[in-house]
Amino acid sequence: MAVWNVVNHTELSSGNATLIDVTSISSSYDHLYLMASIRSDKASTTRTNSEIQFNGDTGNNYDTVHIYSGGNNNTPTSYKQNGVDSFDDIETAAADCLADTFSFLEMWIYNYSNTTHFKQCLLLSGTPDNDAAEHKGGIKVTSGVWSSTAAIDRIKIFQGSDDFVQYSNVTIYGINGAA
Amino acid sequence: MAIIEAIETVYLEADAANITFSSIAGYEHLELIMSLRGTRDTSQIYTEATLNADDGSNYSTRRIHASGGNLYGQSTASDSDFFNNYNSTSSGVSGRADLYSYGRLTIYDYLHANKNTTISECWTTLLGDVSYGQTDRNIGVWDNTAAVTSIKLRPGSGSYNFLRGSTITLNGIKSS
Repeated sequence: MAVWNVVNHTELSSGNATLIDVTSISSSYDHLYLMASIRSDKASTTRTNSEIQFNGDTGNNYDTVHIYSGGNNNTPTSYKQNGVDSFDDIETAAADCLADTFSFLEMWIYNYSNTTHFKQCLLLSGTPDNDAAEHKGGIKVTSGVWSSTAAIDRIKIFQGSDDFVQYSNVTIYGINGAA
Repeated sequence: MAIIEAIETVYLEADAANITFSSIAGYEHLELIMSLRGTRDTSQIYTEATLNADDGSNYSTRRIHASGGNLYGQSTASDSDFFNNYNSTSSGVSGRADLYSYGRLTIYDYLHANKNTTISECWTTLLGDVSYGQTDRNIGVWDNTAAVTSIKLRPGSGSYNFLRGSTITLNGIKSS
């Protein structure tokens, strides 16, 4: 049995507010892992945020703690978001970022099909840029929990009011342990 | 067919001025797992990376850095390599000889013709007599949409080498 398996790979052929809304994810893996390369068309800024929801849940059931740095010689900050309606504040390059430059996102969703535990996640995201000035780029390390015991069978990655640009992509991997 | 494949492992049988990977096609993303030590006698070295043998001012790197009681963000742009002096790497005859620094470098969408190549890295090391260490979370961009065909790791801070025993494994990650 393969340890790593591709559940879904999507690359946008044109701009769209939703990167993916994958349904009917099999419960046959131990963990899920996402690798994404994303850029927004949001104007007049180098960086914006993307969001993630599970199982179509738009309730205030998501909590996150972030470590963030966006400047030169600054002190990284931490902040939390309690009881919000998505995993928010995922680093996303925007229109004023260096041309052709996409943010990355890696996300672990541990024991996603367990029906007795809330779902813990680790997100690593970043916006590189060729301008070293304050807030022209950003690094984020995020711990998140979805307060639901339901097995995750649907993942949506989206922006609130802007579009992901063409070539934004994401791969969802299913990770197996020993049989 | 495996989704993650080990493309190549380099184990240095002798000190080397650089480590280069050039047979890397066929994957969506690449990952390097590094265990490195330098030959510099007096202090640490820095581990730098270039793509496609490009030594132009086309690399930018940003990091969250922790060392001892220090915690700060830092960024650098228009450099001739990734990481500049960020990846502190064990070295020196005055410190413990068994210290090798560790890094995990991910190179995203490296073949995509419409994207600059972006990277992220976790880097960690203890230095000298192990009373001092550093941890970094690095990201960067190479301002070039060319497909990446080679990756070079090299020591910074002068004419030093990677020490015998240093090891790097290059993994390829598929998306189908």
